[in-house]
Amino acid sequence: MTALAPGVQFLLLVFEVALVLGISPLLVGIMRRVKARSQRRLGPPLLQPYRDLRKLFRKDRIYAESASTLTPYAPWISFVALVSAVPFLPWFFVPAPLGFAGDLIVVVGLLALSRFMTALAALDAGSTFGGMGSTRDMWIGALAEPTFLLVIFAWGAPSGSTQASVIVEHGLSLGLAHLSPALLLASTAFGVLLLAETGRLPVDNPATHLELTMVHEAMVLEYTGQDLAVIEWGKGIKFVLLAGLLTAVLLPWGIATALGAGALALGVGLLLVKLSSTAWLVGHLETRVAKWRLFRVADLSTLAVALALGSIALTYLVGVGS
Amino acid sequence: MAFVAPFDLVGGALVVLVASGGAGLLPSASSRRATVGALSLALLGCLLLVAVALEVLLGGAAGTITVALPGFQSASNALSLAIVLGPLQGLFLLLLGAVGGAITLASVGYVPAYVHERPATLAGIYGLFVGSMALLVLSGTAFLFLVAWEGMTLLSYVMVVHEHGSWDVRRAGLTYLVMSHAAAAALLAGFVVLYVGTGSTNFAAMSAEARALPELTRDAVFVAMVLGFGTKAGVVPLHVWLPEAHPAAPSNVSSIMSGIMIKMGVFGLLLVVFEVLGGGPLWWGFVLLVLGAASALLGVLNAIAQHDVKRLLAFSSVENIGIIFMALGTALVFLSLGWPALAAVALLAAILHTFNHAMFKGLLFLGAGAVVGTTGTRDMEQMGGLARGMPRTAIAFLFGAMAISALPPLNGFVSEWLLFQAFFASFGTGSLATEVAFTAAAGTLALASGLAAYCFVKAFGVIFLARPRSEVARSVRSDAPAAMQGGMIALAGACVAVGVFPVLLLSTFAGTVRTITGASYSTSPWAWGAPLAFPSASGAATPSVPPHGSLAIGVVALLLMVVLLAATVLRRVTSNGSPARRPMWDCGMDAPTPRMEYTASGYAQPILRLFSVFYGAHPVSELGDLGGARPGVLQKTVRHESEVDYPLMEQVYSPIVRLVRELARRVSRLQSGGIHAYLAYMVLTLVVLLVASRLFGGVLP
Repeated sequence: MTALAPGVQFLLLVFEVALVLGISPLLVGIMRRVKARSQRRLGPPLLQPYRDLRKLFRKDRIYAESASTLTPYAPWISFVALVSAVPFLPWFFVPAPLGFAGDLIVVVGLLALSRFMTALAALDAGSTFGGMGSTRDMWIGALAEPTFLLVIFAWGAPSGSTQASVIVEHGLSLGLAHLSPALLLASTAFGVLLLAETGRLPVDNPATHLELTMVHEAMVLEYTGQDLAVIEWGKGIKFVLLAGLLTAVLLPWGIATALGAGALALGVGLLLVKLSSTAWLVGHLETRVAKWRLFRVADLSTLAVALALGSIALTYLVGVGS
Repeated sequence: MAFVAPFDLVGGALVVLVASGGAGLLPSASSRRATVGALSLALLGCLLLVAVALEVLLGGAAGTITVALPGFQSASNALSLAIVLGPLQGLFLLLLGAVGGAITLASVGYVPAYVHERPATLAGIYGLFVGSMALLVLSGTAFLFLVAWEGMTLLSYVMVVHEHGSWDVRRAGLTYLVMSHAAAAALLAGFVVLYVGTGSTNFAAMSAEARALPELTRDAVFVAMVLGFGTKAGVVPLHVWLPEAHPAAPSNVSSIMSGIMIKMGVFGLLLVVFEVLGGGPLWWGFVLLVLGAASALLGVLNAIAQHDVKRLLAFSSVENIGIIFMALGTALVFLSLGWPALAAVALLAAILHTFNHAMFKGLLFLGAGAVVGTTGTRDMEQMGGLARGMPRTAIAFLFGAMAISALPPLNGFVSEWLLFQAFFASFGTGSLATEVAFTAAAGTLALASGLAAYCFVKAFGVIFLARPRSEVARSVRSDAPAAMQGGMIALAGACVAVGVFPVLLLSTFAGTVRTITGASYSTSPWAWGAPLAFPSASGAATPSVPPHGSLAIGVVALLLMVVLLAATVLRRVTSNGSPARRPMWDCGMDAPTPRMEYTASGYAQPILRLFSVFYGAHPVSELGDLGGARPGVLQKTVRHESEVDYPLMEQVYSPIVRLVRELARRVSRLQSGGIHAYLAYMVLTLVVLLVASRLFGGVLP
């Protein structure tokens, strides 16, 4: 691991946060567009999510009369928790700027903080649909937590660390041998987790207009204006966080380990390619599967846990650190 | 460096606590003055205990004094008394003094405001109870330990049944009393075995001998200790008293029982299993690990199902005790495998979670106490919208809920992070059993932690958010008494402080960790803001090896603050005027009433359904038919009922209770009432004892 000067590290941090904030609406646009195209529809322009955000930021805020003082703050705390996860992850350069201060378990914690706030806010006004979405989202989240932890264990076992940067550097040092069956199993499990955590089909339908089937949408029914803007933006950021982590661990190539204009440009370029391909894949997948009944989601998370356990078992068989 | 010798302070603290008992229990003209006086003395006692603890932990003042009773001077005598003050004692005095102090401060507000019957008596017993726990921690001999243990149990029993007008309270008290005494019997048996083996009841003397005892004897002691301390701690399946006794007691008592008294079980295990026995074979660790995992999962699942707020918190205590037991088991496993550095990490997790749980559960029970005292009900279905009437209680409760859900940057996250790291470290040990067990344990802990978040979103949301579900909830206008708010704010502040600067607290654990594992953890590498890093599985502190994990939660907190600041600026810049207040939208539903809100039961339903194996829930739906030509078409009423069973109680404990009753009925025939029969019994007993002493006299020392 090369140590960077604090100034450079700070610049890197700011740039990464800006990058994630900047491209997350684009990825949402890609997913919508791909989904529309594969359904033989024209679909909205790629930049539509940016226009939506601008529109929402200009609108007035309205709160329910029954809502407490939690309602105005919760979406912002949730948003802050998601943005704060960025510097702990490897994007186009390792070590991550704040990798020393937090590992992947911190990222799990920050995602949980974000979810906790959203779920509370959904209960605040006292609406029926809010409660429905809140309990469902916490349910999915509670089931996703073991998968997340076990995938971190499976990913981290070969390098002996739960820090994303160490995992990525270890992967880079292995070359193609990095693509072991254990890694593929764990990454598949993470793929399932990504769909559940970001509220994509078959777990939740982001385009639904039927309240009874909603999870995430039901939780934000009472919001508008800039609050809704950061909620929507946060959803995109959460997708970028998880997709970025998955691609960085599964396909670490291109991530720079030393400072240099060429290496950094290549890193950023490949990062954009990796992220948009993931969005493209998810968009296609959403056309191919129907939404599952809520209680079948438990089967999905059981499957993910089984995959992660299988990956850990394979790691034992091969031997740790080999 | 110490201005007052620690033992003088100890004596002072105990005297003040006894005086607190006197102030409350002796006849007094003004009940209110007696109450406040007793509790203030208890608070002073707690502060003195903190001073003792700090002198021991920071100044290194430690030692033993032996108090000889006339006639029992011999140090090897079973009835000798001694007071010991080492690093472990210092830690638990700190826990008792600091967290107990905050709870006592809150009691100064709680007892006069919400306890209507005999508040002064409750206050006096409370002071004595704190004193009994202090004495327990300070015990240097098994005899004194058992006496203090019994005092703690009986005094807490008296407080549990304080409102003994209700049948439920008396029944809960009986369950508690019986379970506690079964536990005390197990402890007595364990200590007798130790005494017979080592020839001493003095912990220091025992510890030297106990490691050389035969395996079977050590195993027997271990089992007895797990039964005894496990019952007090409330670990599954010995936890059944806990969800009965905690709701029955006044809330400040629930708070100190759940926050501190059940931790005395953890203290006992650390003292006897770790310090005296010095760890043991691999299976000891696995026993604690399995008990802990079962408690963590069953505790939180049962907590989610409750709609009585205090019962919910009690089951959540079972969960957290489970987490502590998992950490203790992990430490034992690593000790027996010869990995002291990793055992130290698990031990840090165990002790830190013990402190953390005391802080946030003490806080949550106080919050529940304020809510229950104000609304007059423990039923969450009658609450709702209380954040408006009781904003300070709501904020404090929210901090507790976030801390117990292990959200960064609060204290619960740090201890669970340490435990995850200890599990993760098993990958390097090369022991297959350990790797499999710890992988399963990590999955269980992750699930339990996710479910805990579920549970506390439900608890906070149903109690404090949404619209009031009853008339009494709608009429709440006043927040908790000022002293109570003070206690809650102090505990919430402690949750944040330990979350952001865990090193502050962790550095005081170094002495205990060194005594138990031999692994030395100085505080210097963990200076302010530096990451919590530890050596890799090789056991040696070699910084060239990539660390297993590092956590500078202060940096995480700082980052959160900076981003929050930036977000606030963004919010200001893009804001256009103050927000409007309008009726709830709810997708255009027409005038939704509070009865259409999600209830506590409704919120729990997805979990009840998914984990129905653990509950034996019986949902009953009933349609009241209007009759007429086509039955079943017109429905007059719809009723849905779902009852959650407690399978353990019915299938395991009820048969035992029946058996004991039957035996008692048979034995009661001895009680004929005739004095001749009783004289005959006495003679018979004497003969048996004489024969026994002749036959086995050589065995007992």
